[in-house]
Amino acid sequence: MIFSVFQRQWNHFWFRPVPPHPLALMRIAFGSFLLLYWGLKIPQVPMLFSGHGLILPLFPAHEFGPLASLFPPTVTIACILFAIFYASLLLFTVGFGMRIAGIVAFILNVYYWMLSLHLFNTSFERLFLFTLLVLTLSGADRTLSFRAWREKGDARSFSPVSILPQRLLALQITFVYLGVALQKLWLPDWQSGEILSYSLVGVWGSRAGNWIVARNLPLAVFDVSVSLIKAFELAMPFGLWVPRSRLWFMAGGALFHTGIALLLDIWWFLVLIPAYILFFDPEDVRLRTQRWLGKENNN
Amino acid sequence: MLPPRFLQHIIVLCYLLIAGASLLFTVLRFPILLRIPLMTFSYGMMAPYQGFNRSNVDLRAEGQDERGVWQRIDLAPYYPVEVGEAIARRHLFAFRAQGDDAARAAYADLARQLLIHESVQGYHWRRVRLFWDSWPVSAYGYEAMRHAPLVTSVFLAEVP
Repeated sequence: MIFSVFQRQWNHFWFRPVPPHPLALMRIAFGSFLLLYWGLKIPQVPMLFSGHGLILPLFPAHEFGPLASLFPPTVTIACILFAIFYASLLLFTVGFGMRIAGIVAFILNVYYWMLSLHLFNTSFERLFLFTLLVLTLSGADRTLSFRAWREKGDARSFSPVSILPQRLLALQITFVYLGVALQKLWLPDWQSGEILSYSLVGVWGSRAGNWIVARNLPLAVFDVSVSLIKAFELAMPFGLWVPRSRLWFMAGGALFHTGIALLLDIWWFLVLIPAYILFFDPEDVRLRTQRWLGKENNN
Repeated sequence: MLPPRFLQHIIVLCYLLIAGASLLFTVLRFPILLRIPLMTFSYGMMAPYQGFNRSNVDLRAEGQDERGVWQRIDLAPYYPVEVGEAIARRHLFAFRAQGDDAARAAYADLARQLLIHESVQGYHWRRVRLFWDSWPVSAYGYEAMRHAPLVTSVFLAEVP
């Protein structure tokens, strides 16, 4: 009896068919974000991704076998590869051949990681890769996409998808906040406000961050701020799952990531703000999206 | 596109196992949990900004001209990214994690590439050398205190 209830709940949580609207909105937001993120690199492609710059691949070139000449490539090849990559991201975002485009973009993103991005070695790059892969396999192009328009004559029409990819992405965001928060509870550098004051004038500190530290505020201000950050990050993963508190935590998350972007010049986690849509009930998102787009029909 | 239901169960269980173990590592720090590359990757997603430096740091490159005089090489054109990212890239974390020898070899490789690229730009250095500088922080800018006698330098590599 208990097992069958658990099994029903388990299947309902992980596998039930749902409208694809949260995934589609995430595809559009995340794809647009990637287009911006990588678009800013376009002028620097020769310096960042070809032998024209200082390139230290993760492994020696000969270990890549027949692909050795791509570590690093010539400027021409680098530009061609980047053009393919960027076009794939564009197709992924508009939902045109999304699966193939997403897989191509994913493979080239892994390539860029091994070629150059590993030197930056960031959490958000890993999160981008994970999100790109899950979205690619999710059916996020079943609505609000070129595919929906081509198959059904209306980009707003849809067909159901499994909720599994939405759950995986929402849980990953949960794990990110939870992991970050749990570490801060014991990491030596996070036991006082010093980390905040030093960071605001450190390598990531923006002018606004510098300005705050130059006010000579008492260290207690930074101590309290760090405690608030830890409390917020610890509560965030739970707050996002609870419908009653969700909007408050979304607002808090938006404020938190915007503050980081303004004070520390670390803007890449802003992509988490639209990702909060993944915590909503897909049926609710469908209703609101269709109402907003002026389409009340189910498919 | 999703695999059959049985495989989906496997995917969910594997995902929960990997993410759970990574989460556990954030608290317990058992290295055994990070032996599997996917776990390292998963942990990497939840590990931003763990600490800070009480000093500012950066790589310094110098080229020796025909008179034997060492001159500073501007690295900015080689790192057309934000300052934070540029300095993070110059840390060569992936190589430092493999030990001192791997890090020095990587810096030597970097110096060799720099020598070649500078030559293409018209700067024909006889030799290129790299140092890792550190200096006190300041609210007046990252480079504000980067001058003698406040800078401490560690030699990294010299080529050829």
